[in-house]
Amino acid sequence: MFTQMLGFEWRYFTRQPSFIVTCLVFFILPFLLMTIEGAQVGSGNVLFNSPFSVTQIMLALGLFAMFMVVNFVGGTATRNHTSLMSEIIYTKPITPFSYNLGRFLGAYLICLTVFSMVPLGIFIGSLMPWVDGERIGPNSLMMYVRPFLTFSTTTIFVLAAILYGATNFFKNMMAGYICALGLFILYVVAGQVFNEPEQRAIRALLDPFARNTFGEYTRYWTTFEKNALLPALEGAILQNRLLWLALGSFILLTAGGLFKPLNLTSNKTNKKPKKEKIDVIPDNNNIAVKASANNGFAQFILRTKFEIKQIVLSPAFPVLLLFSAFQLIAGFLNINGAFGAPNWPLTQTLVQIIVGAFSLMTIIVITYYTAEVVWRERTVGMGDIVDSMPVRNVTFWLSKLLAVMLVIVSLHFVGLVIAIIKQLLSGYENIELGQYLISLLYFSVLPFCLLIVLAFLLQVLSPNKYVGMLIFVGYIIVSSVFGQIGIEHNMFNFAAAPIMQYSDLNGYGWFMHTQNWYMLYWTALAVILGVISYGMWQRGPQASLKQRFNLLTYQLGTQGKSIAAAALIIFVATGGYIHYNTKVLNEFYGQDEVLSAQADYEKEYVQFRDAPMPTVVSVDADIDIFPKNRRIEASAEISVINRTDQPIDRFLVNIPLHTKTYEVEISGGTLGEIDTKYNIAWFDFADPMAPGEERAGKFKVIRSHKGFKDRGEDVTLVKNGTFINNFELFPSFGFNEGYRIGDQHERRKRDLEPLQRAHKLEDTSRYSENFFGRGVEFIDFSATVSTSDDQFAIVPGYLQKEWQQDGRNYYRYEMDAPMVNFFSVMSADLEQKKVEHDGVIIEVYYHKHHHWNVDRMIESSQDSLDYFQQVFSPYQHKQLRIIEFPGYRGFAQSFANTVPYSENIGFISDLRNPEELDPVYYVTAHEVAHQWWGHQLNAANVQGSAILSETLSQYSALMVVKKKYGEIKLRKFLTHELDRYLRGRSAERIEEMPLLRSEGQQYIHYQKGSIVMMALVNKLGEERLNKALQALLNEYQFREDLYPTTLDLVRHLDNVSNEAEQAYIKDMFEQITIYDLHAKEVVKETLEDGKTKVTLTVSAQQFSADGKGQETEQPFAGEVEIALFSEDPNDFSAENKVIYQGLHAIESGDTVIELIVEEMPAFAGIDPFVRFIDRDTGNNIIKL
Amino acid sequence: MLKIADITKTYDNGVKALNNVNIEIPKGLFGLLGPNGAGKSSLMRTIATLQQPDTGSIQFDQINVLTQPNELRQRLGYLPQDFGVYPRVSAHDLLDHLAILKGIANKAQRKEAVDGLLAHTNLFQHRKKAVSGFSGGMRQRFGIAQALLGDPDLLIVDEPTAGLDPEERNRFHNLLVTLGEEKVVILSTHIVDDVSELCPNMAVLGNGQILLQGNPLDITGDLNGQIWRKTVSIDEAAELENTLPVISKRLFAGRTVLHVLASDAPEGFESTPATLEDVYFSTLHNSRQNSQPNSHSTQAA
Repeated sequence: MFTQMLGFEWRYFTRQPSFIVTCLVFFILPFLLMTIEGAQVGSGNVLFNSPFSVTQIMLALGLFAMFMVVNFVGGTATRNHTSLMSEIIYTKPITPFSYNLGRFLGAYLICLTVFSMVPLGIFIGSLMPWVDGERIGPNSLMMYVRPFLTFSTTTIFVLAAILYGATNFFKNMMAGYICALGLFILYVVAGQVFNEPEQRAIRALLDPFARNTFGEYTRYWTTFEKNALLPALEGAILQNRLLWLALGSFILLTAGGLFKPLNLTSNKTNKKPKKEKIDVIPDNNNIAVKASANNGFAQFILRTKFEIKQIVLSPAFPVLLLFSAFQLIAGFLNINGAFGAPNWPLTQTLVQIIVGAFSLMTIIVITYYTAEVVWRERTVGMGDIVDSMPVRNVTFWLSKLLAVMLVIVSLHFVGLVIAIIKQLLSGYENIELGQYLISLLYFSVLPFCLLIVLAFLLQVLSPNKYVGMLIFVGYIIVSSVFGQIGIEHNMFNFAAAPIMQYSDLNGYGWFMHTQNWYMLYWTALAVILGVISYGMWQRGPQASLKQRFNLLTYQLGTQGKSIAAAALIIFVATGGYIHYNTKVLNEFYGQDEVLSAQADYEKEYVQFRDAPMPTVVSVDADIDIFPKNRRIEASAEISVINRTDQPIDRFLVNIPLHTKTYEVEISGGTLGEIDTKYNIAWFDFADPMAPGEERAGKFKVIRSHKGFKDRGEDVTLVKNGTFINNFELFPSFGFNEGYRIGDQHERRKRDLEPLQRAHKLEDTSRYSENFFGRGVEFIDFSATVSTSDDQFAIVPGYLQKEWQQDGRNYYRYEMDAPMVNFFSVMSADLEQKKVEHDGVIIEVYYHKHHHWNVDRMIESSQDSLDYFQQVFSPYQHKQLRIIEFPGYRGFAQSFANTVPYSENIGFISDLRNPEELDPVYYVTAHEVAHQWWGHQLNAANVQGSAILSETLSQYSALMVVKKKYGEIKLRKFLTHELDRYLRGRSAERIEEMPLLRSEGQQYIHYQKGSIVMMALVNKLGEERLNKALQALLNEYQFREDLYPTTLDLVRHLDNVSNEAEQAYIKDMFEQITIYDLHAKEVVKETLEDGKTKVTLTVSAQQFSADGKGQETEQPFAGEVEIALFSEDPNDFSAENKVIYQGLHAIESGDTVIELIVEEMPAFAGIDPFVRFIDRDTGNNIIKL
Repeated sequence: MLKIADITKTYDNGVKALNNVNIEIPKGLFGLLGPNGAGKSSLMRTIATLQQPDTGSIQFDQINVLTQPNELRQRLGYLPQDFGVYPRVSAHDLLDHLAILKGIANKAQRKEAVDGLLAHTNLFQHRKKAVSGFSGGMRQRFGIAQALLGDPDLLIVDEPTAGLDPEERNRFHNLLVTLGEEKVVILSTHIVDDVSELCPNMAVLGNGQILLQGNPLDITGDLNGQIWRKTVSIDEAAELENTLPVISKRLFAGRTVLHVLASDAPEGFESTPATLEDVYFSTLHNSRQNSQPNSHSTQAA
């Protein structure tokens, strides 16, 4: 019986067309993922068919497999019921268990067969000749079999079991769909909620699809490991699989009805029949009432109400709303900014979360509901009756369309309500209902509604609803890679528009304008699609497309035809207008065009990379900003000097973006023709500049904007919150290093040599260039800036004069200290707070709704100034200004006495919970530290340059943080830094460098730098380390002839260290060393004298890694910190006390440590303060 | 009134459902008789604007049914052979819903018509119950009620009495006869008695072709004197079938009654008056005989 039933299911499904189609889909998707350029999973040096990438694809499609499983398994569970076969089947003499189990396993086997197309698709894809052979590694059978057995067989069993249970229990497919959606949301929510390093084990466990599990398992895998290692059924993966297999089996056994005797479920409900009034039966009524001819509107209202009622009253709808509410509540729980610290729930942030959370779900909802609603009459069997009614097609189409649209609107309203509740509960006072409505309805719902129109058309043209669903989902998947296959302009991606980014400073900016035009354009097309949809509406069960097409003009009538014609005119006209704006008034280049231009530029001009050019040594700028018109008219009197030992007869000038009018005047020369392909021109001296010669010159530019753009809007020049630096505003000199292609594969494709990311550390010829690049030095700076009368304008320097003229605000700034030729120009309407601290004026300019952390920024500035002046050198300015700018860019940056600070960081952190880290205090300290490291001390333009600016700023800021918040809180901070370092090296695209030679690699100069410097300060002590840094600073402060390198840093560190410490420093700076320290076991014992004896077993391992991440174990012998705590060191709310802290000699393997302490400790740990690059900090602390 | 000309329809799977069908149907009840799979429902759906034929035309009054489906639907009542209903909607609400779709805009009139039809189909006392929970017969009556909404000029009912008990069947027949005089009513069925009781005009459809058409009395009269009957055992019946043109065979009290179509009485047979059933069976018999050389079907039953 069992095998027969299994065989029956097998034969049943393999004969269904849906089986073949699904197999094809599951073959084609991974095939495309392997073969479409840009869609592939591997990045950097990770191979497309590395075991890691293969597993990733299989896991991602495992998520998608949910819909396949629910169809097959749910079909099996409900088939007897829906095909009305149950009465026949159940009267046969069969044993329920083997019958049901056979059916279930048959369906499971089918799902597995379909999914086995995935490894096949990947494999065949990897063999395709057009795929870059350099990025395909050797294939082996195990690479496909192991992940398939480990993940796919189990995931599909879990899905099959749960969905079979659900559909069987509730006797309908919808329960299966809802369950599938529930699993999906569980996966998303668990991924969002448990994001802190110490919660990741929970996240790994809770994911039925094992994607997060694999993510955790491979969290720190390096390129080498991704290419070489196969996932093993161990640790978190094993636990996760066992948990879900158990849960799946449990649900199958309880809800699957495997043992249930086979009989019919009663349709009767328990409702007591209502006592009905005995009515008088009307036997004389006139039943021969003729229909009135024109009843369209009443029919439309009736149908619309009816369709809405059908949706709203079906059990799926409230469940859907509940799910989405649940998902949002989970998403809103932690609105995390930097270092896991929460942000205030700004409306723009919540809107982003809603839109993000709904993006995929809405597609699923549209797919499902469109199919349900369009085919409702056919499905329930009323099609013939309803279709033969004298109702116009448009009535059916429009009423159904509105009903599905209502679902999407409802979802977003749930989001809106929950968001507002979240804001109220958080004590956030600025509820912006208007912004919610515009952002959600106009920017998110409207495009989805247009997609619904498309989905309707596809359903109308499809022979059945499954085909329609499949085509729609296929379209969505293909459209998501339009960018990769060369369809980049939003004009060619249905319902797309430039993606809106809101800023509290600048509001909707230019996005309202683009949205208006793109939505008009797409709505016109949607109207045409809609007219076709109702014109081709299927009436009756057998109407072929051809026959419906023959009746198209009849069905449309003049009304439909004129609507379509009008829509076509609007579509073409707006399309023309968008084209004119985005491609004629503005330039539009695809990714490939840009890369080709970059490659050509490099090939043509790299020879001039080191050609002599003048250096700007003084700037007096005159800048007029017109925020309303987004226009800047600027000029600058400059003087330039020839610092080289050769005469300069010509040099390259880079013309800034969005600048049609420009002039560069230097006496004795002229600016030649512009090469518009790269926006560069030669400046020719008739009279060459001799070495050491200084000349006067002038820049003149007008930056302005016409029409609108499809991409690449100018975020530096906006209506409120203009922030532009001198390299963006004025012409700059010399070969533009930043314009070279960075990606090694794109370079190889275009026959470019691998890019040298930085000059060699030993290249002394670069020691006279600083890291801003060639020709950037200290300058004398002054500027007159003007802006509109409602804004103020700021550049570095001190305000000398402020006046009004012609209804505009004018400011005169002059700088009295040496300043790097790197300055910001800002104009905005903001609030100001100003305090004086020991002769330095600290000012913070902020948006009126972002007032929370202004005092914290000021406090941090004060503490930083105090500490840095005490241990390093005096502050070179008398002023420090922090200015908020729109969140289009998300950084803070230090200019001379001026720190622009993005609205998305710091200003919006919610610091009310003392348990969380304080990114505001820290980031501010970091930026203040740059006034020393970066502005007082520059670095030579070689490898490791960012160590001198960023790592030293990190160190300085962390010392300030440590003084305020203490060592234990610093531990959490460093745990975050360590995690980011390890993830950073896992994502390395080319080669990891040791600290000494970091090549602009952020995870090294920020994160690894933090850990190493804090370990160093622990070893050498604050005084010695600061002395070394002070000596370095003294040697190079404000120098322009020679800049320091990391070698100089190490030299100064060595000066204050003994031999053992020097060896340690050498190791830290020159090697990539990874440790694994582990607190394995702890036993405590109360001694007779009341003291406590703690026996702690720890283990240690040391690995050295090469640049690709291949690690080899080394013997470890060193002193490691052991500590005992009275409370959990992860819990900041507790009054934690360090009961014991001391260094112990530890070697590779296990070491047992015995400690006798007065107080009873609760937690013990090895290296609790993160002095080592430990690849698993989760096992360092152990509870007694 | 309704003129069907040269209608041919072949389905995608190769089945030729309708083969050059020509009928003219006047006002009054018209019976369309045919065995399962003869193409009755295909023809009904085609007339009801739910399906387009490959060739041919259908004219109702001034309306070209195939190119002006919306105009026909204003005057059409249609009961499909089988149908389902929206879940969770009561009989009254659903009928009211369909009445609006039919175009009965006036609320009072609509209420009168809806209640009246529910009463006529004996559903009035069940009007607050969901149609999806109705028994087969009740659901069929609901189907009849909805087909009659809006006083259609063309009423197409496909196997309307399937599943009805004799009482309800009679009630329906009475209703049809009362309503039928001023309309074109097409009644498709495989039950000969329905046609002989109700219809002044009829046609027999077999294998997608019109095999016979006319007034039941006339065509029955044509066969008078040619139908012969004999009551035999089952074994004998099998033997006789091989030698004689047996058009029907039925059991009566455990023995088989054979009807044979012949101009002279075969041996041992007695004369019996022709009935519509004999006409129907002889027509089908002839049709099978004609197509036999091309097919290897089993013996006619």
